[in-house]
Amino acid sequence: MTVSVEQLSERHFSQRARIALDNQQLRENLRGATDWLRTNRRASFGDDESIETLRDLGHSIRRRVLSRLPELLETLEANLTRNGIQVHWAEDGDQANAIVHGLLAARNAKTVVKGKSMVTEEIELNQYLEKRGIECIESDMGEYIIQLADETPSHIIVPAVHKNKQEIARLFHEKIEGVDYTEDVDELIGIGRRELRKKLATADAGISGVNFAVAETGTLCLVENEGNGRMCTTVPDIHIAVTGIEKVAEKLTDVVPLLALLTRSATGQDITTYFNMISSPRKEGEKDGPSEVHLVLLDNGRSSIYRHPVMQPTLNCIRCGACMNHCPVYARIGGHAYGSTYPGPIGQIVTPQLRGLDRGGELLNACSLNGACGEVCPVRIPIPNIIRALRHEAVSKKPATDAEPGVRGRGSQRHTMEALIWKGWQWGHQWPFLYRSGSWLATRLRGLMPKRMGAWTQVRSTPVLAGQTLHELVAKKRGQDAGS
Amino acid sequence: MQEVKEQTARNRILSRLRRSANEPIAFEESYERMQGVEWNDADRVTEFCLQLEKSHAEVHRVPANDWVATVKKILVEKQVRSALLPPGTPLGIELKNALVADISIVHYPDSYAEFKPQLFDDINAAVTGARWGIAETGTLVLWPDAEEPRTMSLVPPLHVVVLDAKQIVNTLFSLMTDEKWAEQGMPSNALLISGPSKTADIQQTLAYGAHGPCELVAIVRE
Repeated sequence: MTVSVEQLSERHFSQRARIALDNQQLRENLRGATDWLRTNRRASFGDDESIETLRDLGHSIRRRVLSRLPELLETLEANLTRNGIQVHWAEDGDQANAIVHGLLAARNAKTVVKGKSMVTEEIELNQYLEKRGIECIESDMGEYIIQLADETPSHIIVPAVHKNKQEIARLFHEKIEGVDYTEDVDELIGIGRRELRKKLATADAGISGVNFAVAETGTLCLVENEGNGRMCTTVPDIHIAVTGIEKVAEKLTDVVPLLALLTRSATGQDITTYFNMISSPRKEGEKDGPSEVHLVLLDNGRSSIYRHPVMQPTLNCIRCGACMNHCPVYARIGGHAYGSTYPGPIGQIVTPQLRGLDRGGELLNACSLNGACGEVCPVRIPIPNIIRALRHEAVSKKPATDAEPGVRGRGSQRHTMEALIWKGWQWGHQWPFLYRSGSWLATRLRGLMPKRMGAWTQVRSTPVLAGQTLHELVAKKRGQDAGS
Repeated sequence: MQEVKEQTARNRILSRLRRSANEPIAFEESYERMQGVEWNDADRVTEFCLQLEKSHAEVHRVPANDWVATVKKILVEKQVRSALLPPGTPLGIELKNALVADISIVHYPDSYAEFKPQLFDDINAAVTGARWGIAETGTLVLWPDAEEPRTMSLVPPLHVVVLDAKQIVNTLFSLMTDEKWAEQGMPSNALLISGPSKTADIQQTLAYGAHGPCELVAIVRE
């Protein structure tokens, strides 16, 4: 019996990665998609200087906002409330889910249409609501496809990136009544449009995420191409937006460079089809739009990330996905292998912090520290440095204190044997006598080296030691040079 | 009960954030980069049209006295049977008089809930104005209101937008600052629209008409 990726728990990262690597179709799909996204990004930014200036600006805006986050959250709340948008606060996923459910239940809402939102994936809102008899329909085409397939998104921007059109054609044919098999993309999108419009027109409520929440004006901004985000926030009578507490912009003008960075980094577009700025529910005299708008502000571990000076830049993220598109590991294993809502490099630093290093620490191994993610990040998150710092936290023996709480699950990836080996390594390099005799012994006993060395030799040939140490070889060479 | 819980959550989150040793950073960025290129009037309009066409919109530059005939021609050519128009704006009134013989004209009723089925199933097109155009990205800026509700630019498969060339600005940044959006307060919904609705969610293949209009036609009055 073959095991599917979905059956493995979040802790089985290496098995998941192995399954993904063995799937030739998946690898072709991923390669095609990441190459396409990278080419588009590069083309849209123009020359290096303009990329760098814009990145500097994006970085300094996010840093400024985070430096005053509590104050800006209060301003945001005050301005949203003044505009008629109701603000709710949730410390974790359960609280956020309960708030959303409470709002829906009080209005007897039975069907909900959803715009693409990673934060509601993070808190598993759909599952929570479905259990309580509320139907949730994902309306982004990619999200709709994976909902039909009963899967989770494998990329934060292009959720169905792991599927090719043949797979989607089969899925539509099998799951949607009266649909013949067709590989024509226009036809497939037409089918999705027709099916979803029925739902969008009649749903009781709409749920969306938020790209930027502007404190200065009390405005929720959504970035999209399809128009489903506008549908979800416009057509049903109630709109509930859910967002992490970090997604605040101080000033309205802050969104201009952030938007330019987001769309170019994500898909290589100068701008998306729609930029939707919502500042209030339907006003007296207006004829459409929801009569109620709610915003749920979610913490779910973000305030702990915030308190850690090295980790704080994690919260700069504007969720563009450029780091995954440029990551050699992501491009080969895809999003599902990570077993977390946020895959790729950003997922590697977000997930272990949100779940704790004991539950997400293994993800930190999926990195060669090549640094590509840090180089493309539009808001200059030093992802490789944070990965290194998290690896250190994961094996650290330092106790957590209130002044220096560290990352949850600190020390959980520490293994006695590994620690001993590194201790030996440290001594060996501190004492010349130990180093010389150790390396002399190793070269002389090289015949005893095992042919199979566990994970290392699974995909590599066994390294062969030289017959003499480097020091010996150099000394010999010098002797020859002096003699000649 | 729920309110008390949320209040507690709020206070706990804020106090956790406040316990960090952040030095507040004041606003000091240079936004020079966002000012973009300063086009002259003619180039600005040309750039706008070029960029909007790149986003797959159909753009017509017409003399100010000729726009009604152009809109009529487009609607007839595209075989529009029923079109949503703003009832009380000059644009809506002029168009209605010109179109009423050929096309069934629909105005938004007060009861949106009852109008939804007709809006989704029967209306072929909507014609609206736009407040501004942005040259840099080929973007139409709409502030929906009682005359031109939000769904007019969203639900019908064809959206025709009429824009005066003098309303075209260089960049989003210059628009926000020159028109003092933040100071004067934002409308319930402000929209930037750049092209018809689209998606590349199936194997990176671009398809138009995802959920919103399949076609976007911009009429630039000069």
